[in-house]
Amino acid sequence: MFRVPRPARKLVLGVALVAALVGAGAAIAGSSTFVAGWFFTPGGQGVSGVDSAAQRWNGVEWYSKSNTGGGSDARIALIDASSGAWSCSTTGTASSTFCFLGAWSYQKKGLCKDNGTINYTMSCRVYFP
Amino acid sequence: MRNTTFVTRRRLVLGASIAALVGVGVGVSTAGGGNTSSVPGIAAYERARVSSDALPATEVAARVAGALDLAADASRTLVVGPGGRRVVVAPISSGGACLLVIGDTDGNVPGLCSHGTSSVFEQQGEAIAVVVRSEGDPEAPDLIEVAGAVRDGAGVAAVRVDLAGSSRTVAPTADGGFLLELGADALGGAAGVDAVVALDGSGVELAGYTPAP
Repeated sequence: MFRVPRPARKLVLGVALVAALVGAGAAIAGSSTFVAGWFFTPGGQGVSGVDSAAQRWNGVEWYSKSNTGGGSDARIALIDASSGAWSCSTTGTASSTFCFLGAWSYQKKGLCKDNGTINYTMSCRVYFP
Repeated sequence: MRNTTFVTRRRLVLGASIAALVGVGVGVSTAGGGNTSSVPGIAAYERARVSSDALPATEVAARVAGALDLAADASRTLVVGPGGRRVVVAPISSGGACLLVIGDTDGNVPGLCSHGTSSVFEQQGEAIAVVVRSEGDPEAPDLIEVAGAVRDGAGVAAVRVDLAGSSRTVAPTADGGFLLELGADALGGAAGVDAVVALDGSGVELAGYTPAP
């Protein structure tokens, strides 16, 4: 019976392992939902947990917003956990709006708010590298 | 017995290899699997693509394109402003499109997306798409940026941005984009934008975005 020589088997296994790890790495970078289909009334907001040194948020987005008409304003922002300074504060009525930071090495949290005058539902997430 | 073990191991290795290749294949098809090459309502898609339509070769632009699954090879630049400021529209590989505002000195990239068959003009009477970004204290921002696109054929000749006690007007480019950056001096203490209004050639208001107070 044909047997794969030991070094060749190690090579195949190594290639498979590296490919699997690359795939896993790509899957790990992504997003984390901190508001999942919440019903918002004017002034209502959701705030994410503070990020960690191992995983810094670098973007924030609202999506699946149920109303895009007048008065359905929403706001997203990333807030410096130390100074409280806001960055990437973005408003609009679209069903999906985002903002990504050019520099994000500081500790922060994501904000998502009904900035308008009517009720609607939406979801919000933060992105990380 | 020993041969059986080796066969099992080889099958295991083969299975792992196939699984890894399938995983890589899925990634490739997700990244480049879109067939969208144009965005409805965006005038720039009626002309040939030129080199300046490409997303800037910056880390943040690449990161945004990856996160939002953009078909970056079909992007169009609607505005090229001072300092390399740009409004860029790009299809989403799985359907829909995003409008990105790129090139601020802090590198931040705001924007909006439509998904599926909805349009980036799903708001403001389908005449304009607007992104308003501010930096600093939300009650007294250091900077407000108003950018977006006008829908091709909607007859928008100008976009007026109203602030408390003043207004600015900007004409959209032939590609349908507009961008206005207002620093602290230009804001004059204004806490925000009162309205973003699309005007026709006679100054008649066609549509507008009025942020809630």
